[in-house]
Amino acid sequence: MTSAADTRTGPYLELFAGRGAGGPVGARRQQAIERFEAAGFPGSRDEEWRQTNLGPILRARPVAASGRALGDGGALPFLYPDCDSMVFVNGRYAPAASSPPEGVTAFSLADPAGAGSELLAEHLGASVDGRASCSADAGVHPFAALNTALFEDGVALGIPAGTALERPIQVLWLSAPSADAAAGDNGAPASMEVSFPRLLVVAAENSQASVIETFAAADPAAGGYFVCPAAEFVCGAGSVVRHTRLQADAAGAFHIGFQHARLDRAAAFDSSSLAFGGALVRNDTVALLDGEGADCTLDGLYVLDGSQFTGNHMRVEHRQPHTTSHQLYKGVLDGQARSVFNGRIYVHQAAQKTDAKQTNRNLLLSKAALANSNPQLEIFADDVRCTHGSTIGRLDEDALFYLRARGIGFEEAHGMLVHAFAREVTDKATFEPLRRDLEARLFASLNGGRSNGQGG
Amino acid sequence: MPTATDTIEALAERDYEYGFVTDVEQDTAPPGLSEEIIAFISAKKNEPQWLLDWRLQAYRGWLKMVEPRWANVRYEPIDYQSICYYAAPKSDDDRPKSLDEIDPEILATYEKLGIPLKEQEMLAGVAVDAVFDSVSVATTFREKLAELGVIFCSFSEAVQDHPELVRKYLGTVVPRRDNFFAALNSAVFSDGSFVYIPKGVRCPMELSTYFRINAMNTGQFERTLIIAEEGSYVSYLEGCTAPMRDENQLHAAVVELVAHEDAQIKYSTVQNWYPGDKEGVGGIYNFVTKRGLCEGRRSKISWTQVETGSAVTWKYPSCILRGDDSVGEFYSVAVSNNRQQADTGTKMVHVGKRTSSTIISKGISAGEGQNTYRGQVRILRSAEDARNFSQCDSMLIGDRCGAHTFPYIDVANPTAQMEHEASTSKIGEDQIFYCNQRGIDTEDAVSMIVNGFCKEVFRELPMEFAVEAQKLLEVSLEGSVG
Repeated sequence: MTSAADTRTGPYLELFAGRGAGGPVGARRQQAIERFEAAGFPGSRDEEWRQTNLGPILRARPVAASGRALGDGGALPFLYPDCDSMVFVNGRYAPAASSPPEGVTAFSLADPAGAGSELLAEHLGASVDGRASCSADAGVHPFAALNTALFEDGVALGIPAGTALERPIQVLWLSAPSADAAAGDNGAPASMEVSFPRLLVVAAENSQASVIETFAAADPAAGGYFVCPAAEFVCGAGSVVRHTRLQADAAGAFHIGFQHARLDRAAAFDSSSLAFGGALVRNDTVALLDGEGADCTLDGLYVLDGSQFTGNHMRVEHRQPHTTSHQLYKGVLDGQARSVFNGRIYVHQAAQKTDAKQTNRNLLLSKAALANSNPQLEIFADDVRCTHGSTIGRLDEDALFYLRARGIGFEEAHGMLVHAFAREVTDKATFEPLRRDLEARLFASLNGGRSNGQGG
Repeated sequence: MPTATDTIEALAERDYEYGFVTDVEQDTAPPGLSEEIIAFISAKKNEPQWLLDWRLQAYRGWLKMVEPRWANVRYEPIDYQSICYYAAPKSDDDRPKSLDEIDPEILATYEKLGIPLKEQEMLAGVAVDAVFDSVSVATTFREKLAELGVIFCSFSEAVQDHPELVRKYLGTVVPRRDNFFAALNSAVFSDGSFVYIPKGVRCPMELSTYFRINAMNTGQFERTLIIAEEGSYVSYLEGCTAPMRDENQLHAAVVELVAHEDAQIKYSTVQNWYPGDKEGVGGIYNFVTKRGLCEGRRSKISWTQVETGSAVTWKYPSCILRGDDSVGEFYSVAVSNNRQQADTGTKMVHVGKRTSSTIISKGISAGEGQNTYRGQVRILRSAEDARNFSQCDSMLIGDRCGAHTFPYIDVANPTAQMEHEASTSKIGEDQIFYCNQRGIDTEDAVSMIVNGFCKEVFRELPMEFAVEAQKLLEVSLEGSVG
């Protein structure tokens, strides 16, 4: 066991050797790598990870992604109009392609000018110090710890008190792996480039901001790279933070992300996670409702085909009274795709009058697809309203019949219903260019690889 | 109207009503577990060699196993070497022929429990196989059942009289190395009930066993095996109370059900073992493996449980739906009061085509009780058109208790339809107010609301049990006004 663990964690520990130390962030990095070293990678006996097969990632040797310059306009297809943007290629800031927002603090973490910033000293890595949450029973999140220890660059955003940003800020994480990733056994790469994008958003009192994260590959056919992002959101009292996480990695990519949000009094955090690409994708979210009246919305959509795997693990902690949370995750699975939904609502004893709702709906389009759904409630307060619901099934036969009785062909009727099912999530996007993009992606992924839909 | 604090205190101060110890001479094995002790148990029960070998293999498997820790319960580590694995009333050698010969102390115990055996014989067709500690001391209505070919006897009698049946089915549903506690049970099980319903027979009465944990330091390791042949029907009742004591007692039972084609088994449990005092001292550890196999087509297994006792309850009555069109049901009410902990639920494994399962679970937490529903619905690729409906509701009474829900849903067939719903609530002030306004006092209102909350489960219980269950619930939640 230990020797196997050493060969797996060893290469990652080696990557740490080159990372900067010193300052509060340096100390947190040191702490994170120690926690990672002590915990190692999770195995199949680990409850939170037993349904995620990390084998393909751990078998490949990690190589730090090189910050490559992108050709002129290389990032353009991914950028939205009417939007401020910060572009990262292989985890490194590309200032030429970016148009950073004004009136707010926004800088690259690699920028030495920002190194002494109070924002970093106070917040960066303070919540994602390797622990999945502040609760005693939550263990170390090894990948969050890895990111804290190993990130080279990223974004720090500070929204001043009372400022409402009109334009969304798009953070584009573009992966452009070198083509010489050697293939190993079973088609899995023997080595792969790994990047650790890092995002910090600090919204001061009564501020408003919208952040769009886009994970994409410069070449959609690229394979065998590993993105291990982490994001921290610190939502001050009365702030409103909207967050969209669009994951459109290349088909062969591995993506294991971690997000952490801490909400102060009457803060609102609204996050949508949309997963389209990648071979193995996992997204863990922890939200701490740490002030009265805080409100948290976590929505998600995963559209999978082939042998894709997507896991969404959420932990929403209600720590103060009168907090509300909503989760709606929907999945469409075709081919041999597999999905895991693992949502946990944790209501502390102090969090009376909590209102929490959690919903997971899965649509299976093929016989070989597999959906796992584990909606979980842990409640220690008595005056609460907590509900969860989960469904897994195929399209409603009656709805299909209704459409066909009106002269709509099977394929078309089928497509309409699947679209209607998925659009409940994409329609929530209020920023028009984003919504159109999501619709286009949804359309492409639903119609791209339909192999064996239900026969008529 | 009493405040929440008053009611929690009232609740916490309630003592166990059925706490007493009967003094009966014991023929007890020395504490500890070894191959010698297993051989001693086996010899004591005059078992054939194959059963001893079976026990020993289970024991050797158990030695390699690690006690599981994943359940959402906390308890002091169990010292398996300090438990007595065998205790039988002395009268074992010359078994009483009638109730008159039975130790009056044992009869008095039953009186205190409210099941006067003498009357019970005559009462509404309930045959009682009373398990006093580990050996059956009285079995009634045997002749009447024998006429139909129904075998209803203690497990050790079945080993003597029907070895071929026992050998054929023992361990087929719960293999002897299934899990830590099942392996322990397989190694040291002392007695239990055995039921065999022949082809086409509808068992004319509810079969019932009263378990009674009585001797100090004695873990009870019951083994129940129920076989329903093609087209048969049986309803089996299990109920229990236990005397007060300070040392935690381990109870690791195994229940195996086999339903052949068109057969139906209905298994109902009312569990009211000693839950420990208000500090959580004493009380029973109830770590039970219960599993039913719907072997044949159109077979049906239904579990109903009302769990109000035990310090720690850890059990998941499950159904393996192998036969096409087979049906599995699970109805549960679990109450955890004071410092009780319950981690209970079910597992439905859909293998056959058009199999369906229903899960209704009601958890009530009061005082500092922790109540966990943990269940799995697994629909395999072969299970075309499988159907599941799950509903898990929790009710919290008081602000120091906890309710937890951990469903696991794994679906590998797109034709499956599965729904899971859960909700958590407390007794609303408006509901109480509504009742008060109509002249119903708060206590009665709570009782009424809780009964309504549990109605879906209670109506699945046989009549006698439904009454007892409601009474138990009322006692359990006395004084707990939300």
